[in-house]
Amino acid sequence: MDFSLNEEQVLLRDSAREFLGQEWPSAELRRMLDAADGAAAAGALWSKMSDLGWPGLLVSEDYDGLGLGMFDLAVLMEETGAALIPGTLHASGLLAASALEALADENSCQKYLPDIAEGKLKATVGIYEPGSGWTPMMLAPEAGEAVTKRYVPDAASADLILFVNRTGGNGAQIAIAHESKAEDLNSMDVTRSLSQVTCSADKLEVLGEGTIADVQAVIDRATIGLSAELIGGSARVLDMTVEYVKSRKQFGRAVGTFQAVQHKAADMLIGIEKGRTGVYYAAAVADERPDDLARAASVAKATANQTAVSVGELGIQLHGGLGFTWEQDLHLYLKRAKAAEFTYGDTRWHLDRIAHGLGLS
Amino acid sequence: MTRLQDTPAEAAFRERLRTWLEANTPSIGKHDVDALKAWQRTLHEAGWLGLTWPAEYGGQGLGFREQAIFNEEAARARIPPSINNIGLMIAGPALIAVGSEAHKKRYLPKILSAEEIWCQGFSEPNAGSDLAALQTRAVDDGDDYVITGQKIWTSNSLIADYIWLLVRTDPDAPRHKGITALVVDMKSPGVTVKPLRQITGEAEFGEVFFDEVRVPKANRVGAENDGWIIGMKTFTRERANISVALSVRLQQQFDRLLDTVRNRDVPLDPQQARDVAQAYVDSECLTLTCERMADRLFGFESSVVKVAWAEMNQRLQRIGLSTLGPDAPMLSAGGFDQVDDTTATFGTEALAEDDESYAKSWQFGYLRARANSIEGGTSEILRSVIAERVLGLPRK
Repeated sequence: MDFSLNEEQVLLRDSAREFLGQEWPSAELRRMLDAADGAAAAGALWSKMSDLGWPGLLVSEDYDGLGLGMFDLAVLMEETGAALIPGTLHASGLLAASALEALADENSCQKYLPDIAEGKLKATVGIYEPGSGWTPMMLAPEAGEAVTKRYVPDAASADLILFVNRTGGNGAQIAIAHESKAEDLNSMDVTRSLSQVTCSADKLEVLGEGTIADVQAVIDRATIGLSAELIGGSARVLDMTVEYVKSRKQFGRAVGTFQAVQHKAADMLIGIEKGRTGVYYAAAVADERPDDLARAASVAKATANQTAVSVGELGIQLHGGLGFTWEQDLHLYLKRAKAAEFTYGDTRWHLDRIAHGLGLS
Repeated sequence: MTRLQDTPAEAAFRERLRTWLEANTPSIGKHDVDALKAWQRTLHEAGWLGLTWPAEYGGQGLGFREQAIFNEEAARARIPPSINNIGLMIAGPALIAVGSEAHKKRYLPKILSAEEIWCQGFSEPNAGSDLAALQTRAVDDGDDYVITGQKIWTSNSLIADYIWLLVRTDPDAPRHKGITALVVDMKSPGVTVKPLRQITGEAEFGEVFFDEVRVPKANRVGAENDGWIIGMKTFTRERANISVALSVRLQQQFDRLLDTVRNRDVPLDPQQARDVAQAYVDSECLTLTCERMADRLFGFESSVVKVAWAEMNQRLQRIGLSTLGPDAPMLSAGGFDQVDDTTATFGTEALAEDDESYAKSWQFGYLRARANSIEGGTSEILRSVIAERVLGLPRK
């Protein structure tokens, strides 16, 4: 296994870090969250990211994308996770782009993917339903009068809302949900909206068909991207924490000299290194050995969940009272981690899937 | 570019190795010192040892990638434990880094061939984590040093031919500046070894006593009073090499766990199945982390892997034991090994195929794993190393 970043990936990482440092500092994030023109901040960021080609990073060159792989995307998403960018890139450039390429027919791909790649069209996908848990086989096998999807990312700002539905047995379809109604679910992660979206069955425009396994593979790719965002965020929390405990003085010395503090910081790093390994491994598997995608994605997500939540909690602890304030950004990372922990399968769900794959259940 | 697949050269190496291991891997009891030595010699003669060591000292002059492939295939083939692990993983690499040409020529080939087994004499009763407090004294006497003192927790001391030793040559200097590194023949007059019985019942380590032992100055490694730096270099190599070896052991332990649970009559409950899946995640991530961090493991970052491994293995052993249900605390055949002063016992937690006894049991694994977070640097010391040396937190 070769984990080294190639020249292009190093450039992608470094330029993304610099770009986000300039365009999405904490002040901009806070403007999005607090100011009356908050949506404008997110919109400005989206248009600049589109200029860099990020929404089309995964989209194949046939549809005017960059045609890069999951490993490249993971490298980028560590940086976007560190900067806590809103959910449009994940929803449109990863989830929707993957879902269309996996399930939509050729005409639909040609019609929508170039605009998604260019950032002109912001798309999202609703998959899970009330009662489906994280298991696509548990989606309702046939549509009633209306279809309701839950936890749809970034639906409020999306131009195109897609539904992935089960069509009985192992069948699945992707459809545009026209005239749908979105209701914000008020996720704990205030930097990213998750909505419940309802659409009348007669307003669904089917774009293509596939299998439940195809659906799970789309989710697994999104899972790897989300895991990369979580590890990037965790690394940023550790950086902030190291800076803080070096400078904060109590009992006449920096609190970072106390072993109790040092050992928690060490645990944060250990978790991050383990988590980064899981993400890079799963991304490489997605690119090169798709048959093993399910297990690799579960390794990445189980580990990223554990790392991000633990690092988020420890970051607050080591900042003391300051870490508990709204003004400090740490809670935003913990809330991102906590919401992401329950997206695309929690730790238990992923461990159960691994156990099943090992023939243990 | 492909990340998961071997290059054609790597694939050929792997294939050749796998075929060789399938044809040649023996089944050896973990206490059968002679057979384990013979096995190591066979491995060496076939060109599978010292993969990263320079060719002029009997190594193969290959890279870390080949070593990683060896580790994977060795785990897969469940090869017997390494009898000379201290020589191969600690003393040998340290000599390559800091030894003289004469020392390298003299010692390295016989480490590889298992003709000479090594142990490491660093810790003392009053110098554990605080190694610089060591008191074993070396007095200058013409062409010799005369050594008096005691080492403890010395793995393989009961079977070793040489000891890689730190002694105090200048008791008046600041404590880090009066330490010297020596190679000492364990058969020298005045050296005695006593086994230390461990909580597993075995004695894989012992106490080594030095009573006016004469050691030629030619056996000194590096300059007099330069031993602290040499010791530190030894440590980073120890932790780097051990981390890599540990990932093999964790894979083997996980395979054993799978065997255990698949052979159960009663299916696992969902939480137990989840625990096993967690052990899978741990062993995969550790192996891959060693590969990902390979070029950083000779520095302080090896501590990251060492601490992670200790906790993962301890967790895995707890899981393994818990899958036995009510029988979990009942000792399997053999029970605790009996050790007396005359028994030279070689111990390792790596397990040989034919050990149908306590030593292959989860009780043994659980108890042995208690040492994982103590040996080779306690997890407490290593966390401080990570904080101060990797993260750059201030020292007190």
